[in-house]
Amino acid sequence: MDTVTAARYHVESYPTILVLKPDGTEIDRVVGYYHPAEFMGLVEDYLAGRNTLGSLIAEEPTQGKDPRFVARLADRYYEHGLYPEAKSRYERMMPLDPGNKTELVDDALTSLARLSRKSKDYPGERKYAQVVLDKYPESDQAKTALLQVADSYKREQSWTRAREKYLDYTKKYPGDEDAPWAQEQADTMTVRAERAKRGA
Amino acid sequence: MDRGRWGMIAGALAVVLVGACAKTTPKHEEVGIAWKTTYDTALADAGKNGRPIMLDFYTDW
Repeated sequence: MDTVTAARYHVESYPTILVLKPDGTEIDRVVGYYHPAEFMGLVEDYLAGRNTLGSLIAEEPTQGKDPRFVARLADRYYEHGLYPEAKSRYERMMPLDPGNKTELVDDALTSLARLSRKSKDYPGERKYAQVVLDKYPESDQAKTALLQVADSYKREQSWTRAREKYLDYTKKYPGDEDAPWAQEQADTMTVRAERAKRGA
Repeated sequence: MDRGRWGMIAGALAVVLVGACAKTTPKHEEVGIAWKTTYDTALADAGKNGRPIMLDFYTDW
């Protein structure tokens, strides 16, 4: 029952809170955790018809060249599970802000990598993540991007390459909270590589 | 983060009809919400009373 309802509304992650009209049609949604005051603000906006995906779509013809607006619209499409729409907006971010002045281009690339992964396009996941690593190595998405590269190799069962990337992570970010997890992954990749060799 | 350890786990479901009292509730007082746990009942209630619905998909994993 819950799963059916989640699927009906294209709920992709938890927590997701939907605000619905009395007839059950969606006004909009809040995806992820927010501070209570912020959360209330969003819900009140939605109930008043402000800041909804529908209202953003209506603004796109006039705001569509503003990278901040485009990023916001892309994120909202993403939250609604409207992936092709999200993808095409994220792809506009780099041309709109080549110098990443908004610091939103690396986020867009990370989201593009995530979308590729969702559609099992692992070379695509790696391609986008690698752009973050090459062009914006100092960005706060660099860590995620490195894990995405590792993950894409793991998904392709390229155990040795995945292992290298997980180890890169532990060397680059030794004190990071995800470093022990990356080390675990690297060890798992070692085992799998050996098993693959024996099986061959 | 989107990673292997994030499996697709079905979330629990809770539904509340958004009340007019929300704004008059004192800020720091803990007030319980009478969530409904069935989508269909909530929808029927909301339709009858013309009130919006808040549908919460969450998980306790």
